[in-house]
Amino acid sequence: VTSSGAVEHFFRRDYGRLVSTLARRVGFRHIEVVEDAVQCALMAALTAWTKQSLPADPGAWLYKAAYNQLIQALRRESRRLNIRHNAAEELGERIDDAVSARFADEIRDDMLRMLFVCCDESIPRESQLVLALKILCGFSTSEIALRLFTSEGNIHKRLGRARVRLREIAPGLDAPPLDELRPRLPGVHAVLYLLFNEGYLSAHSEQAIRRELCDEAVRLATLLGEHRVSDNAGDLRAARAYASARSQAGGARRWRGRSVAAGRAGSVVVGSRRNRDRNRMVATVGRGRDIFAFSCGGGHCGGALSGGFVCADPMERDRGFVRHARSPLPFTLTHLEQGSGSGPIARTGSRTRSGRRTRAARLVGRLVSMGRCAGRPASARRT
Amino acid sequence: MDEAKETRMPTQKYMVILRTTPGKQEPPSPAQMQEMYAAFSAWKEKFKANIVDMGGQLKSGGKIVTTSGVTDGPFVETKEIIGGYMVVAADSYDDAVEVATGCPGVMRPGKSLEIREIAGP
Repeated sequence: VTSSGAVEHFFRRDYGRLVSTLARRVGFRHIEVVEDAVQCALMAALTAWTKQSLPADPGAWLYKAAYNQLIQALRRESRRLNIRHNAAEELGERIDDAVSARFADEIRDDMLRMLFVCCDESIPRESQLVLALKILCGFSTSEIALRLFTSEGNIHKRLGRARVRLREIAPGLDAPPLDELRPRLPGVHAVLYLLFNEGYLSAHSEQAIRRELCDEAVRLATLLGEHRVSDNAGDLRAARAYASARSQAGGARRWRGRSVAAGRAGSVVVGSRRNRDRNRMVATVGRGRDIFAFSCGGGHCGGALSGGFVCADPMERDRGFVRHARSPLPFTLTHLEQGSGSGPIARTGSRTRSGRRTRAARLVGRLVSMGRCAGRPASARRT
Repeated sequence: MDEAKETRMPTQKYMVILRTTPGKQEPPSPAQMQEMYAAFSAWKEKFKANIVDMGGQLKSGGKIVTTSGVTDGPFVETKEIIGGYMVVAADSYDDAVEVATGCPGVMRPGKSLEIREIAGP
């Protein structure tokens, strides 16, 4: 059972890898057929690998199995539609070199391209996130629903709409060079940020689920940061910031325990602890700024808004920095959807008693005016 | 089961027949498959002295052969169909039950196991 740790997430990761590569080869409009084929290949692997032992190269084994499934499915489909030039034949010509010569770079490019395709401007942000979770992270609809606190029906609807859009992609545009996709970078940033936030700030009680979402964000952000398509070193810095923020997050229970303690202790921080905590805070502000700059696409507003991020950092909030804690970061998917509903914005109030907009409301307003945020601030919705 | 039993394969063999209610089930997600793989490997390791033939799932469709000829079957209208099988070696029915029910994915709603001792040496 020593190998169980090593193969952790193997199926899920390979799902994203295989779907990305095969979809690029046959075209994104066949995305559903590709997903089905990969699912079948994984099922076949499950049976074969448990009966015999793990093959020498599980990745190649899976690729071949998924490829064969895909060829069969596409042939069936083209026969049904009576199309002479079908995708299966095109794929058949290209497959020989494909199996033998697949480089790590190519796979990474395929996955990044898929991430950018998921972030197509014509797909709503929430659907982009769901699509990325489904295709690149290999979560099922019920698993996504559980993680995003919504119904399975809702996830189905979002996926359906996103896939309709993918099907409309013209055949000629199937494998655009990554450089051409660069304009979508802000959207990609926003999706990664949402992914991270859903894990980091979510009220989900299950620690493992929250960690998983953070890990996926870190994985994809690292992938992006290491590639030339990302505009600057900021992406990689942000990926590292994500990773360190995630490793600091001790999980829901610890956070909650601390916040109770912090609530009792108030804002008083005494003695030598004060310096230590302040140092920590400074470090976290730096990280927060990185992450926030990342989400805003290149640091244009990072400095101005980094204070807002501290508020959202449970580590800081729980240590009793009450001054900051009054306005949590108002930028998670749930909040965008709920608007003035039951999110923290509504709880903290979008206006202070004197009628000024709260810091939270101002931050959202700023994000919206910069076009970085799909929603409208809570205060704007009320009017 | 204690250590002594695990070192040798018991001589008595049992046929385990898995019955399932027909109908489409939602395929497992990659994460679930991961769990299934880990669980299967652990089960296989734990009972390696008992598993004679891991058998497997049976595909849908098939042939029914009688003296009057060959027909397609089993029919989907039937309430339960045989969905899988395996052969285990055990010293008693109790042990056979333990091995069979330990198999991941078997003890689910809509599924049942029939365990029968195989006659003869």
